[in-house]
Amino acid sequence: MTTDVLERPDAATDEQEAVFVTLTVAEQLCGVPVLAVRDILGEHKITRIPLAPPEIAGSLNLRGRIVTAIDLRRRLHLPAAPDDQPQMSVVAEQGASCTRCWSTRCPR
Amino acid sequence: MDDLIADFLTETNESIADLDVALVKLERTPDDQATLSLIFRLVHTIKGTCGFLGLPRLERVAHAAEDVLGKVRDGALVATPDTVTLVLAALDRIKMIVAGLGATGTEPAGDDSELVNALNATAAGEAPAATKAVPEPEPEPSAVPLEEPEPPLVEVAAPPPTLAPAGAPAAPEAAPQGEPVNPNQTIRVTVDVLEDLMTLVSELVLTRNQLLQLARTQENTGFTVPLQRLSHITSDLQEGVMKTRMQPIGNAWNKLPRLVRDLAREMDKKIELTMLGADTELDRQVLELIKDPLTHMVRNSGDHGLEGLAERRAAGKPEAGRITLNAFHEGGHIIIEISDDGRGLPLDKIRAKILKNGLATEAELAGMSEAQLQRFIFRAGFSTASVVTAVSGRGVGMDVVKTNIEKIGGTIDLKSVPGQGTTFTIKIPLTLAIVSALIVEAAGERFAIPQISVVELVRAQKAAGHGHNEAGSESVIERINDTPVLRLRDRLLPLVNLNDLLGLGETQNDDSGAYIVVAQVGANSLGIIVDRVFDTEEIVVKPVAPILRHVTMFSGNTILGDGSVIMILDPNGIARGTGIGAGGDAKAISSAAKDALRSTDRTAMLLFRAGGEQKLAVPLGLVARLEDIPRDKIEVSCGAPVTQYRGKLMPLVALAGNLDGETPRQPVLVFSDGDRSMGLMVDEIVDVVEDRLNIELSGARPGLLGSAVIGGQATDVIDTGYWLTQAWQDWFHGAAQSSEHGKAARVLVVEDSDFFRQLVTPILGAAGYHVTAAPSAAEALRLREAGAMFDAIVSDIVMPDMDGLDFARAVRASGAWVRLPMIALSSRTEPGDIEAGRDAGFTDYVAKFERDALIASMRQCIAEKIAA
Repeated sequence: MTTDVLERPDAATDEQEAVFVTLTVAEQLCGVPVLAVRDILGEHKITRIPLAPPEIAGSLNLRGRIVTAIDLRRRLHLPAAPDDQPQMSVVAEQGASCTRCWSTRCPR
Repeated sequence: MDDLIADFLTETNESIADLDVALVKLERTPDDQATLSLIFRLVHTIKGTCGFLGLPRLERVAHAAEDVLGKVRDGALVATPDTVTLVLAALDRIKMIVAGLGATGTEPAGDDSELVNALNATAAGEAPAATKAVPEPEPEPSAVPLEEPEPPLVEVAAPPPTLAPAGAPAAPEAAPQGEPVNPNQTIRVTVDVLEDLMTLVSELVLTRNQLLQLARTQENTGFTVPLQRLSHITSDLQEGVMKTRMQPIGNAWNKLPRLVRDLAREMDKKIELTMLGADTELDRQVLELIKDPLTHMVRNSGDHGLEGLAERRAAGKPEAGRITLNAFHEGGHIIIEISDDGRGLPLDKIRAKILKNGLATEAELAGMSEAQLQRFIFRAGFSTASVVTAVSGRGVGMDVVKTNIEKIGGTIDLKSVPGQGTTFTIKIPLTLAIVSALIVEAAGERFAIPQISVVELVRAQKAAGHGHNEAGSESVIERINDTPVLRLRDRLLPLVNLNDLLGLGETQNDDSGAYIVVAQVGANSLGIIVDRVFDTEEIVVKPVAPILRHVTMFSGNTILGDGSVIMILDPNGIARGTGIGAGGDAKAISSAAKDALRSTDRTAMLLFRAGGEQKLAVPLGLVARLEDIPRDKIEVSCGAPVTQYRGKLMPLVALAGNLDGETPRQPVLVFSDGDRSMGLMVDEIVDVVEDRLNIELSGARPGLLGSAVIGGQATDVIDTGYWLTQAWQDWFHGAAQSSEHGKAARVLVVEDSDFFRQLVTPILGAAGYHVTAAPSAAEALRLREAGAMFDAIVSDIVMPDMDGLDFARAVRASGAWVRLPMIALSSRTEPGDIEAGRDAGFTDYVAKFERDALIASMRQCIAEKIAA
């Protein structure tokens, strides 16, 4: 499952250095500050939300919390993933007290 | 024990505990202003409360202590240890009295005068008196008189021990003898803790539901019994936690008496406020949210609803107006009624305001029921108070109230009887945390609809064509102008298709039937067409992510028992989104009106009855307004009936000749021109129909143009021009003087239809033109050959033999009229037609029946000609 999602905590030796979770979106390598990441999910059932902006993939149930899923490909204006490609989600928290989470879908 | 005393004791015990700590701190840091202020405030509160509760002994002690502290705070005294000691002594005394109060419910007897004197003396700056008095509670006097401020540092160490026994015996005495003292009966918990508890319990309930669902599929497992127990305990727990959040609605009301009193004084009214069911409990969160709307509505009732003293007397009502608040439980909801016995909603003012703000047109208003009109007060920026008072009338009123109440899943409705008062009814859920919702499916997606707004479920055939196997009783979805409706118990129910509404695409199932969820939105109902209906489930409403807030169709989302996320539909939002109900009436009507305009080759005719069963008709475009005036408002002036209308006298003409109808109100068709109006009294306004006008002229009676077949029935069309001159002999001449040159401009009207010729002639005549009419283009050209001269020509386009376009070309080709402005008058106003008209030489192109447009165009054309 973690073939492409690599965590490198060891890299944080220098005090200037931050730790990132790396992921790929349509072959593009991206990083997310590890402290913002709450969860990494595999295939997960996502409920479609009608009338929502196109980049909103839907919402999913993360252990009793409702998390809004954002399709990162759409958000970054990248071509849509082929149907048969398994998708993963990175759940990140935004703001300290804010409960809003977002989830990115990325090919593994 | 009195509730107030109990509350006071709890509070005071807390204050005293704080005071002990703070005083000790003060002793160490005498200059700490923050601590000093805190102490002063606490003592002050105690004093204030016991004064209010009628506890003289406590009050005296607290008061004296406060004096000292006040001096210290103001810098007049230094917080020396002995001062602090003295205050501590006072505090101990307060503790003792409070303990006695807790045990017996009354202040224990005792004399505090010496302590008070000591405190007073200290306050006055006499240090010695203070020290002398300190030990008073116990006969044992202070050993050393403390003259100077310095020595006490050591010395004062003595008095506290002496004091402590003084207080201590008192407390143990009190505690054992009375029943357990108050502090244990209530504890204060922060709201956050309760909120967290509630959330946890909500989750527990959901998990329980999930488990029960699982267990249902499996027979006789060992889990069944413990699960049952878990279920019961969870229910009890839920109830218990819910109770902790419940507060009597009286808490939201307690500010109202004062508010009403101030209001009464300010408005010079007498107002009695009656509050019923103040102990009805509801969720704290809900309570907070309805507090402001309630206050606002009570204020409104007092300000707008209730009349002034004189007006009430004149109406034969008691001088004191009554505002009644009534709260009660009904079927899992709380109903709050706010009623007044005032003047009721002023429909006239509402109408005027609607027109002024352009929320609806006269014609739309004429078709609205009183209830619909009244609901306009829930529209944004709608306040009928003509004067903006400090109290209300700022136009940020009922719409905010409505929004706030809808936000918590509630509904608001109103009932108003002129002269008798207005009643607002608010229906809100008991708690926001858990609601029961109906789960439905549309295009394969599941949605929840809060049960509060669901009235019933109906199964209906999708289209009449599929109905060959129907039993006859089943309803069929019909269509009016492509809008699906359902005939439900003789009422038309507007329907929305959830698939279309949410853009979900077509339904896969080819079932010929559909489920319709009938939802109540305010006073309106609407039907939501869904594919399937599941059961109802208890759900915990969670707010949607901020990124989705703009989607008004959803009020939240939740997690179902099976763990899937589901969106909660908001019927109010759906109604708003589709223009059904919820203040959206006007939108629906105006789009209908637009449809009416689009079909130009048809004419909207107003059908009415006057003097007999025969229906009469008049083109709707000619009628300025429809009015329904009370018969007693009809007066006689110079032998002719008149009425006061918009601040002027308006002559009334009876179409059928008889004035004295039995009905209390008189329907009137109002025709206006500039600031002149006349009213045509008719018996009954029947309908507005759209039909092709084919007038067959008959020289029947004056006042009738002839008959036409309208709506399949022969109908007489009235000659508006004739009736206008009945009211104002000079109707068609009065305006003539106003034309530019003192002499009226001459206009040639070429029109083959007798009806339109009859119609256009008076219209132009009324605008001050001399009109010559020609029944055909050939006739008009003959006039040209004969040397007639005009200032402008108005011509129909569709005419036999030579049509308007050819006529225009002929005029432009040669002759005296080459440069005359020509206005085309036609029922065909497609851009292509207009283009063709211009090409042929017409100056302007005006749709038939656009009276104002014709006049405006005429003025402009003639003005341009003169300028050229």
